[in-house]
Amino acid sequence: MEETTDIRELNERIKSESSFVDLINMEMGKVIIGQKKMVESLMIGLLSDGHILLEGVPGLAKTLAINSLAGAIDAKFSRIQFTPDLLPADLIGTMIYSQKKEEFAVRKGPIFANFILADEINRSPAKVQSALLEAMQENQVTIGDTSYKLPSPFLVLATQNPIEQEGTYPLPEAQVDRFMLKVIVGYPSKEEEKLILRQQIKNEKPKTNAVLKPEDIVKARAVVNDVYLDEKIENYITDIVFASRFPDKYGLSNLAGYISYGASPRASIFMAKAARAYAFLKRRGYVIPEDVRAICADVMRHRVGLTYEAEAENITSVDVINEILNTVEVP
Amino acid sequence: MKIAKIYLGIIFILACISLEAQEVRIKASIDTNRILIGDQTNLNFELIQPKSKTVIWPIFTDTISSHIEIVQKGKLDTVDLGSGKISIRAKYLITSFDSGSFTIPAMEFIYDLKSDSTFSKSATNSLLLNVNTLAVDTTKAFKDIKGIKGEPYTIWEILRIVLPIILILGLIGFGIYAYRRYKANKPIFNMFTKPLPSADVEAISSLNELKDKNLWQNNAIKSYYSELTNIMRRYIERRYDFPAQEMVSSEIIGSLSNEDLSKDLVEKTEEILQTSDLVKFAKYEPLGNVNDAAIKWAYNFVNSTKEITQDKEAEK
Repeated sequence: MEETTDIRELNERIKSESSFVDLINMEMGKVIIGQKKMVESLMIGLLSDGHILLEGVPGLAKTLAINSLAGAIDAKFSRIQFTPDLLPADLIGTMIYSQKKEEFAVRKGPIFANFILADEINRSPAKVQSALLEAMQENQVTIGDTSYKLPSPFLVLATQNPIEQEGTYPLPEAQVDRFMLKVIVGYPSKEEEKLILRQQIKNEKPKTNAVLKPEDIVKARAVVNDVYLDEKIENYITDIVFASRFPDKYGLSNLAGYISYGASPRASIFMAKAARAYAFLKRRGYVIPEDVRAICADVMRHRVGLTYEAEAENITSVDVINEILNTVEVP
Repeated sequence: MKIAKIYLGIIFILACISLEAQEVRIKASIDTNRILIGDQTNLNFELIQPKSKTVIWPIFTDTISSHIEIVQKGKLDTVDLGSGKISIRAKYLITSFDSGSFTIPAMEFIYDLKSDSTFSKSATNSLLLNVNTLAVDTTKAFKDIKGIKGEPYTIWEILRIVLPIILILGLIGFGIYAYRRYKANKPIFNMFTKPLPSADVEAISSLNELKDKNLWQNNAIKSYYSELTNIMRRYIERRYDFPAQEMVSSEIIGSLSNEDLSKDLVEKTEEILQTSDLVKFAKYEPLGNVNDAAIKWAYNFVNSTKEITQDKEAEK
């Protein structure tokens, strides 16, 4: 079927509609020093309706970044600290018996917000994680006999700490797969660290101002959905995903022993969505291979299972993804 | 009286024939009855018997007597002599490690064994074997026994040692080669493939083919730019030895900037690659002169970046 999208017109539309990106970046920049990659990933998740899992050692401004993003958007924000004694009802809500009215009344949990910060998600047992992940998948929760729609936009930003694994409940692969992106937060550079230090010793606590409304995000998402994705890019995405499943067929037989399972179809879907959002952030109405490469590691790293051999040889999923990207031909 | 004589004559002839038919004769002989100690000689038996008779040969173990040993037992050789007779011959290689004169006793061959355990027998003649020692010159000093003298090596014996070594070394070498090719992600068996033409010759030939296809003139602009960028990516990869086919446009420009290329050429390349991306991924349709300029740039890029050594070779 012939595509009828006018790319020039779309480019113009995107240029005008994406002006808020600069505003958000400016507001985030007031609070977060450095961590441009993390902020960009948060924006991608926000624009493509995908949940994000942030992983990094403590003190890298993961929680602060999410907090600031919620602050920059005039949206309802809930922070849930995941602890071992947390119950699903603490998250989604429960039915409470009112003695006055002599009936059960619904008390909605903190999940009824636009932005959910699931802090240290791996500290709670599987039943709580499942309750959250069900809400992420369905965009609704069931309390008693009634299902309640979650507000739009609904974005879960979960954090987990790669160290201190004692007493944690690692997310099962099937549940990790529901996160669109898994972002690894690294240390700031020396210059950035100096700026952080200066800001903190001044005792200044900069705060973000709300520059957007949730409706603006919903509108922006519609524009992102219009970003043109050529069939060549679709082929490129599927080639990357298939190379993770059947490395032998892509001349990557050296990786075959390191991959226990390849990326799921969600990887292809999320890669296309994330590439569109990335193109939008770059003010483009069409996706180019650069966009796919930019988001590929964040989309695939938690979807490629490694074997014991890979772990023994200190080969990470990112090494595998980089090898795939360096081998799969660019259209 | 005359008739009686004739009858008697016939009876005598028939009796003679009958006796001849029943006769079993055995003869033993020796090739030489004088040997040096440890030397070997053949003991031969020849048995002539009627075809119908069963003759039981004496059983030989590994010795004939306490001084004579059998080295090798020969096979029986049967010859039909006609008239219902056969001759069976056998050879036994014998030796002796004692000096002296030794008798090979008469050997008995049994036949006509009946159910009441009676039988007929025929015996060989006994033989004498003289075993001599070497004469020792006692006037000269005694010398120690010489060691075993080795035989010279034959080619086959040498090959039997050398070939497995060559085979093992070859297998180890092939294993290392195959492992390296596997690690480098290259096919293992490509040593007999035809050598590729040089990067610029291949690129110019592909560009000529692309030009002849008239793709953009026939509205196949996307295919035109796809093929053009594929040709140039392959050329850049072979010429500058970086994986341009697996790189995105910005990465190619970044890598080309590090090569010894003019700024203008890099900028023009960037412009063409950006146009190609627009055509391939954003349904952009450039004007005819832009399409024509793209292939001209490709020719120019190849001609101005081809390796100088190739020119020199061409001049020679």
